[in-house]
Amino acid sequence: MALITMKQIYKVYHPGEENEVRALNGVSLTVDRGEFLAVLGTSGSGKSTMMNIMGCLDVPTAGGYYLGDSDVSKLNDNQLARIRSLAIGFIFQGYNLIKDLSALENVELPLVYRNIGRAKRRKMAIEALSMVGLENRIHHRPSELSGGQQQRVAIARAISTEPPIVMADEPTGNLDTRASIEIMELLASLNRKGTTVILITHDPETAEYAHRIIELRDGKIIRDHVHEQQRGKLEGGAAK
Amino acid sequence: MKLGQSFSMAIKSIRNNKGRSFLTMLGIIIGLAAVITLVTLVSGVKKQFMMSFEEMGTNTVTVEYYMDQRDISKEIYETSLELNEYIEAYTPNLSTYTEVRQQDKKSNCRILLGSESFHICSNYAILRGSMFTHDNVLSADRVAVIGSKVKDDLFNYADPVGRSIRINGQRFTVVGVFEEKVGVGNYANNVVLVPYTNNRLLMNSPAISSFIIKAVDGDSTGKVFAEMQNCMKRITGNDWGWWVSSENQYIDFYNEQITTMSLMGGGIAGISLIVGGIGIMNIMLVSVTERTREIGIRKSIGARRLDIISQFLIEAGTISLMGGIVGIAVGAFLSLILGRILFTETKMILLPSVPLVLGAAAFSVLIGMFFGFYPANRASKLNPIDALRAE
Repeated sequence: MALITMKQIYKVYHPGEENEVRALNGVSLTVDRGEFLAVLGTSGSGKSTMMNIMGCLDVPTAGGYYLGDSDVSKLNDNQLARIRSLAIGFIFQGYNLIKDLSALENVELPLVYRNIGRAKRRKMAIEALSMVGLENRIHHRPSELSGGQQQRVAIARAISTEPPIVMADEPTGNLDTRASIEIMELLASLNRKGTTVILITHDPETAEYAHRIIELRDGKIIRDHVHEQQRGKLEGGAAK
Repeated sequence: MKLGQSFSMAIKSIRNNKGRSFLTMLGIIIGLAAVITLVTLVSGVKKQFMMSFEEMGTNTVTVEYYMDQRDISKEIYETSLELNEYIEAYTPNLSTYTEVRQQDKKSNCRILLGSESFHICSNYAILRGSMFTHDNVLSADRVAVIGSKVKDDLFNYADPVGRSIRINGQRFTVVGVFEEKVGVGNYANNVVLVPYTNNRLLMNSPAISSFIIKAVDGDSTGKVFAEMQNCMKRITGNDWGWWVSSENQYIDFYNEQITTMSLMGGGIAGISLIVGGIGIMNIMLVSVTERTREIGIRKSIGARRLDIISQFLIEAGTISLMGGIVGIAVGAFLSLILGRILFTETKMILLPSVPLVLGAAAFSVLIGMFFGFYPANRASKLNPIDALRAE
């Protein structure tokens, strides 16, 4: 069964008014477990709206959105929060760490909201931080870390609850090339371990890391293809 | 969840905004200090009143006749007999100032003339020796019980019992010493009590026209009070020229005054607490606005509305509890100082009571939570997408 199923999703802002915006205009998509998907589009293409709906931060105006076999398109705030807490880890362009909390406390936060006890929480958070190579920086505040390190903390936070889906919204947008490569490699390795990774980006180069790229324009999917290089790798791998 | 987590977040947030947090607390500090000081002060004043009433004796009715030089002791005695079941003790109550001598020492004292029940009616306790007897009264013996100041002035540390003093040149034998009355000054201790039957010997106007009657309890006091009024009306045929009063009347009156004072003070203090609470609401609203992005982050990683509400409520409660604790300390300190200034004579130490302190602390938390609810609720309703976009 598909992990994510979107059926004819519409998202309309200010419906019926002069400034009506059809951010998503009938998008249908299925994503299988374990995929590395990039949503590529320029600003205004609807990719942010796509990510909000896929990430259960928002609900569509019309259409069905299924995670597994449960319809999440009509849930209320608290139910959406519950889904986010259980199924989705977020990585943002601006890292979005809480500045008053240490790296460890930031990573622990999603576990707090899942009511995981203090000792277990700490252990899981430290594991996640070691996975991103920051086990020596756990007591640093975000302001004491570089951009790349902050983004790695954010990744640790996203994966600390071991969610099936990780959503990354322009994760390298604020980073230099080297840090960008590090972050993308991390996401790729995450995907190799079985996590479904959904990358939202405007940058075709970054999208190269994904196995499948869908391109959005004016709220519609204009292209959906499995990346050739990746296909080559996959086929090559299979051939050997 | 997460109470511990929310609490440590609250402490962090307060520490990161020290100046602002202190200003927020200031309202609560002032409000609670005012409440604590006022309540403590009023209870001190009340205690002081009660103490001085106790000195005079509770449940007493005083009867005075001053229309002319008539002796009304027979009528009062008869009325008292009729009211026997309501009355614990009864005494004539005359007084005059005169010089008292003991060998070469002399002192100007208040001479009290009463019955063997005088000490009961006026709330004196015998420290040494004994009260004079009914027989002493009947035979107008020249015996005296002296107050603590008279003892100090005339006898220093010697035991006065059995010794003699001269009042108006007449020799009296001291049979007892009253315990010192604390809290009412020297007036009550600079006294010499002798049997009222010495009235002709000591008084210029010997008519027995003043009495103190002690009723068995508060209810009886009312009955005695009313009957004595009737008796005086009967004797005089008038509403004037006499005076019947009851200590309980005064106590009721003062209690009423004190209650009015408490209510007024409480009202003012209450207003300052509300103002403090509004200060908290204000700052929490600022805090919610400043931390919109943080709220967005928390929501995106799984915080539910209740999680956000409880975080901000706990923060508000913590701020106001901290303010409350400081306010209580300030209030206790002010009470102590005011007590020193106001109650110099009794040396009463004025401190807030334990229930008051605990109540005030709990109340400060409630205020914080109450006024913190609106901002907290507003924070919890933020849309995570908009909140994440905020700078």
